[in-house]
Amino acid sequence: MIDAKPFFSDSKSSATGAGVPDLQIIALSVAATDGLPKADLEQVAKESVKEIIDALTKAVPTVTAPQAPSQPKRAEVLSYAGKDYAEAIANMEKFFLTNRWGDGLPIIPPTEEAVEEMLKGTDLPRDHVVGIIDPRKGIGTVEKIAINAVMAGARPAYMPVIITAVQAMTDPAFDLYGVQCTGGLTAPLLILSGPIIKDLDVNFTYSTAGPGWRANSTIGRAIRLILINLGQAWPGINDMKDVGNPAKVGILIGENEVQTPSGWPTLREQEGFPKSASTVSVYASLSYRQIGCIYGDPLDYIAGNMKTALNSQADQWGEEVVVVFSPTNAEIVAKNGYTPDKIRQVLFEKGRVTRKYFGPRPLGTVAIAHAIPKWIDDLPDDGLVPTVPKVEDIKVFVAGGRGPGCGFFIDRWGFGQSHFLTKEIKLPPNWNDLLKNLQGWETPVEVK
Amino acid sequence: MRRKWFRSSLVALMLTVGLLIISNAPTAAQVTLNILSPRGEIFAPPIKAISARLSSLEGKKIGILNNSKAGANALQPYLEEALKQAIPKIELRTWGIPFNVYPDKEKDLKALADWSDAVIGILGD
Repeated sequence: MIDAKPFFSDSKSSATGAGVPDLQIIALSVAATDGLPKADLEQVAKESVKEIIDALTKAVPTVTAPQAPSQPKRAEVLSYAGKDYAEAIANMEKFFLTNRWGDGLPIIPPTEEAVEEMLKGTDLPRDHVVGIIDPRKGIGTVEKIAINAVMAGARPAYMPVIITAVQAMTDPAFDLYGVQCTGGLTAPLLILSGPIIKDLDVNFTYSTAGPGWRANSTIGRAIRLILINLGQAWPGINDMKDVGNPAKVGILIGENEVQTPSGWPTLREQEGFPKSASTVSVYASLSYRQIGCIYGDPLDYIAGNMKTALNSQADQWGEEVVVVFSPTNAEIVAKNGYTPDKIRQVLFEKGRVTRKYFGPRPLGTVAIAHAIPKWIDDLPDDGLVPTVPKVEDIKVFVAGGRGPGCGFFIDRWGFGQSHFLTKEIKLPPNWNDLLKNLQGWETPVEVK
Repeated sequence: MRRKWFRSSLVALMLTVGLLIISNAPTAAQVTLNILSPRGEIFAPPIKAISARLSSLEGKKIGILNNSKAGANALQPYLEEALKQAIPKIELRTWGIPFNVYPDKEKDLKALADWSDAVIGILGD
């Protein structure tokens, strides 16, 4: 296997994770080959030939197969000493930072007592496996999820959301392996819909995507810590995003059902769940583009953003896109007779780009994504291509406060493999007790 | 003289007591914080051995697995040329098999494996 130099550790990690640790991997002397002058490509090829011949002809010592665990073990106890607890915590934090176990922010120590308290947030057994977390295939037990939730500063009542989000992200349709390891600048976005938003004091109004609320900030952060500690993805080792994404810190937004225009179905209803349910959606978000309405028709703005996004990332065509209307945007378009279904239809028609943005023909030999079907390849250069494969791939809902009318168009990542997924959140029987314990942890929201 | 002896003894006693107090003073590392490890146990898949190495590449059929990304496409022709120069009797054949959605992936991978004495994968971005 031949890969660019910075990707050597990523390839090695993938080979080991796939059970082929002896796979011979040759690191090229350059960071990338696309765009290199001919003389450089000739040089890179010539200097790799000897290594290739050696890799195919010289004996390789065999790796002894480790025993796969038949049952997840209880978490190991780790001890940190200090002259007082502040110093012991500082020593723990230093250890975590040195070993790449944290996200760089201070962490709450996951003591046995704190983890026991967090486990009250679920009725699932401690050793229940919620999912296998890519890329290193960490076993995502309820206990390990709870430990990382404690570290993030989450409350026990947030556990049902965190567990459901992990379930969604480990669904093969989300392509967590790709999300974690890609060089593309993606980060999981969580969207909550339903009565749980009020229950957990999730900010669904002004700056729902920003800091200030315990639930929004720590649920998102818990997911990031789970991805780090259970998936064991790390920048520059097996997470190859050139500059990353601010949303990697952890992002959760709440649907603003209170100010959703009457007659508009909620996000969860659009995704096939009853109105009484609470759901969490996961989405491999890429870029967050502001949509406005103060200078004209917001649908024109959104369609323009869709085109711009597709022009620059045509190879990402195969996934859903997300349109977050602020209540102001929603109110205006609703008064003009639009519903989410009609909005989708308009955007599907207006947000088209021409075939030429998909690159030279035939797509099969040069395009990254075979998710791009042949009918697109067959179009003339000026033939129009919608921004998504199907009308229903445009996700529309209301979030945020009533400002001047600035929502989001959130672009996708995934090469046709990572899909927007919504799962229903199951509440444990002690839900009311958990909510009682949330008293005092609220930050007021402004609904205007 | 006796008074002097008494004073010396008293000083010695006080020093001894002082030393005992110091030796029993709290050490710097007195508090221990116990936590549970956040790291996930890794699900270890069954290990698959790689194929036996070839004695030489002369006259061998070498399949090239190109992941269809731009970087791999850019390097592939130069790599083929360099291999042919190093081993004139080598036989090369390329399969462009993308890493993502691709309905014929399994079929193409099998064809590549069936045809080849050995495979070189080119990963590009």
